[in-house]
Amino acid sequence: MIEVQHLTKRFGDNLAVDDLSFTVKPGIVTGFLGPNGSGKSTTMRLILGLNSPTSGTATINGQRFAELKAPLREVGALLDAKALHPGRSARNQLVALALSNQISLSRVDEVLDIVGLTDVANRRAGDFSLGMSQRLGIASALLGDPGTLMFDEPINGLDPEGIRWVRDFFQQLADEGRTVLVSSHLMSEMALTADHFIIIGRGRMITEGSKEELAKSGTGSVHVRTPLHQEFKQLVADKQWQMREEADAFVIEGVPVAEIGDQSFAAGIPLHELSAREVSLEDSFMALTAGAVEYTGRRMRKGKL
Amino acid sequence: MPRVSIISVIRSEFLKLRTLRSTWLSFAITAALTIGFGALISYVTKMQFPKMSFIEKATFDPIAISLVGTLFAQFAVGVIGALMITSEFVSGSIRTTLAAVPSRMRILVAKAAVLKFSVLIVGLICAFAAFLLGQVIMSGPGIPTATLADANTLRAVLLAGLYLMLLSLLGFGLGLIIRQTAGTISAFVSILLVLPLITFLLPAAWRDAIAKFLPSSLGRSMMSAPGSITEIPLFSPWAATGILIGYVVLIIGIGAYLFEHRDV
Ligand SMILES: Nc1ncnc2c1ncn2[C@@H]1O[C@H](COP(=O)(O)OP(=O)(O)O)[C@@H](O)[C@H]1O
Ligand SMILES: [Mg+2]
Repeated sequence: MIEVQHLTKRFGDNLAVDDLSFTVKPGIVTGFLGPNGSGKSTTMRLILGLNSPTSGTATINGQRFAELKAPLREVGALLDAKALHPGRSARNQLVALALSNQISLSRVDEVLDIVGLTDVANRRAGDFSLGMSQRLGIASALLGDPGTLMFDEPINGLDPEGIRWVRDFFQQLADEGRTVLVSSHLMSEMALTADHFIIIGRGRMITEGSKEELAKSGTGSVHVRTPLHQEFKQLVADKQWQMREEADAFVIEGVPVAEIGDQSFAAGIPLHELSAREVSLEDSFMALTAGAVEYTGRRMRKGKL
Repeated sequence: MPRVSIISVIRSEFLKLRTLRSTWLSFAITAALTIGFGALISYVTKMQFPKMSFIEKATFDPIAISLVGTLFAQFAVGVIGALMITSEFVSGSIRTTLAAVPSRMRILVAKAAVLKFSVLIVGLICAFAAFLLGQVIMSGPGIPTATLADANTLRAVLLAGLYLMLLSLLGFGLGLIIRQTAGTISAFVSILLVLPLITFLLPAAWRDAIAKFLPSSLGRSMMSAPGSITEIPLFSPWAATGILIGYVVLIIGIGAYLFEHRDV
């Protein structure tokens, strides 16, 4: 169990983590989501005592990280897969960690086998692809067989087979009763990976909840196609519906499908399409964090750059 | 339940040092410079000896000549010390290290212990080899040589090994403060090469007052027979050792304070 209370971290003028409070519970995979630069990595470094908070606290099973007697047996973390000495072999990276926490060396071979790196264990870690490095990072996190696991953007660089493996694996760790926190800046990655979500933007909590709760918090949209553009726009204006135009359709938010169909019929406007779109978790995530992204790209219009 | 102890961290740090090619390369360079360069200079000096002036013959110091290679090898051990910590900051692996061992002082003590032990052993072996080889090469009619039976000589050779150890710790301390490999090595080289050059631009009286405090001058004091005549005044071997230890303690102290209080 990880508990974060009023955690705040300021870098100069930049408030990287702003009064963040949450609890990560055992037995489920918790997704830690937010756009790039929203403070996910900083929060994880604060939990591990690598950065000192400006204010607030973070504890693991009720203890500050610095107080743990055998940290690797309580918390395993993958922060940055490429943060290892490139000249040392994969196996020796793990042996060095194991020695420091008095973990048996047979466990090193065990975790190498779990992540599928046995065959390349004696190769220089600097020659590893990002995907292989992620696996090595996951192996380091597992070394002490800890009850709490944190992974910062572990899916980056994995191939589709690796992504699937990692998802099942995180689920299995949670099913064994462990606390599992996995960060990502992509909801598409996390929708299938996590059961519970903590969403932050610009260092602040935006929302927290289960998959179902999140999906409900977004509103559905209805796609409409009609040959009578002007008349339909007039109807929308009269009814004060929220509408945007996409390439070949009108998209109306927050109005039931039946209402739109009935009103169009009453106004004598023929419809060629009237379809309700389920909100995806990704849509909710985009809507929730829209105000919190650091850099936004321009949406491309057809034929124009 | 097994837990983190200073011994377990020392074993981990020793494995880390052993499993890097740069360590072996730097130690090989240390040996080549101390022993090989010492032998070369000893040979050249022997060839020059008959042509030396009376003064040169009177101040001839066979100990210092055979150990002169340590003044080149000091850069190799400085690099070992610097890399021991900067490689972790540069790669980011310091976070992995501290996520396994949260006590930063424990990491620092373990790293320093492993470094001290390794460089002292290698340094002593190289110093003795360089000394003995140098005396064998120089021995000839009329050329004075030294023997380890003489207490002054034995002390100079032991202090040569200690000098290398202290300089590796200096590199380590600078690395703790600067955190980058290139910057740390530049600072190290500046202290050992650039500062002496600057003192030679000063008026003679100032130079004589200041130059003996430079680490490179302290090294010469530690490795020569006391009373040997040099172009600048030097401290006695033990005083020089004490001052150099003081520098190392100061730099590592500052490094330790910063390491404890800065984010990684
Ligand atoms: N060491 C640091 N010094 C200064 N600013 C930092 C540092 N680390 C992170 N930041 C800033 O803090 C904010 C949060 O960064 P980060 O935690 O890396 O976000 P995320 O992991 O969600 O992408 C960013 O604006 C980033 O630039
Ligand atoms: Mg990040």
